[in-house]
Amino acid sequence: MGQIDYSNADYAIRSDFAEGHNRYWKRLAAPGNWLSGAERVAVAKEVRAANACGLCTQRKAALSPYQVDGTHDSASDLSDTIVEVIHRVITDPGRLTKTWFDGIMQQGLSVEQYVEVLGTMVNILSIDEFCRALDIPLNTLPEPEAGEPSRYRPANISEDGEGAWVPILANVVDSGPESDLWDGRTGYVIRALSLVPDEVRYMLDLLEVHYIDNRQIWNVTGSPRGTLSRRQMEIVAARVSALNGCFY
Amino acid sequence: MLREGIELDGDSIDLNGLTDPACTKIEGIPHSEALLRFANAFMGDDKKALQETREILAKEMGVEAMVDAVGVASNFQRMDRIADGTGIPSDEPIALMQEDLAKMLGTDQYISAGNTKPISWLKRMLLKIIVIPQLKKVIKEKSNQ
Repeated sequence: MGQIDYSNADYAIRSDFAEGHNRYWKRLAAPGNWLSGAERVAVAKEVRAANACGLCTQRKAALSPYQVDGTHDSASDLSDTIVEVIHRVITDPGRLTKTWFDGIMQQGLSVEQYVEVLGTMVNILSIDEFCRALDIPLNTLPEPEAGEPSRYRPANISEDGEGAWVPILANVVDSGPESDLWDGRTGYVIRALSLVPDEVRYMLDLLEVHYIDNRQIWNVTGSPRGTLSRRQMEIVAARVSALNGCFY
Repeated sequence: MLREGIELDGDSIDLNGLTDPACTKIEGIPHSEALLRFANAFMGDDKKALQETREILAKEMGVEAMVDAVGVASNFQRMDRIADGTGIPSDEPIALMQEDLAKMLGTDQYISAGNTKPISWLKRMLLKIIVIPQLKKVIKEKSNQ
């Protein structure tokens, strides 16, 4: 696998983008907690197939996505359930409901697998979207590494999700293997993937590269990198989130 | 976080229209027009519009700032899906602090807003009297570091 390198892009791109994306590509190829390396890379292929999927296009245009039946245009040998998760979350995130999620769980996907699929797909999406927006060819996906998933499940999990659909770690985790994830208390969006703690680590790593260090999240004034002010960052974030139909 | 930052700086900025793609300028935020037009194009399918808004942003704010805006936009493609794919509720103090803003912007009508349950009157009192003042103090301290 070649290293991700943006030095030949049309624009000067700070080096930590390529560094962060390379770190994630290495993680993508390796066995995860609940998915093999091959499955993780297959998730990435499916993310790239979702936007060209005929069924997703029809569903997106429909008043309700549940009015349209059919088969996804898949690019992998992942199960139909995982393909449905990836395609729906990528193409129509603003209309996901608890009923949809419960239906996925009834099809035999474990909630741990669901969280890892979700964490993997969104990291791929953010890197691919970065490239798309700068007119850079998408990075070649890595060759998967052999090995079995660790099947690690943390202790101190709130099984009821404290209102979320998925179990999440307690808000304060000041000891044990997950104590590195955040300091003190943190928001739901950071805890959302914490049933698979590595997904939080990967997410926070890319968060710092693309947006802001989570430890600086409450610093709401100033300019984190001296380019955009926090206000300017937040209006971009707000507009993107609105167009995704995201309340959070 | 946007409004908290504005208030901390002692400014007053009308955020009405922030979430409306037809609104392309927020008075009081420099280069808001270039940023919002870029964000609209980033979320659309028109490659030419994306290229044009990227060039305008780079010309007005510099290439580094334009690349950082791409970083932010691509990050929120991710964070939105984490929130909506896990059905997380809004954090209660933040939800209460932004309740009027959500109503004004219409974001309380989004499907994902249903993941946040109404806050009981007792909890609202506790949040307003104890939790929110503490949180504002933390925000002020962190922002002055």
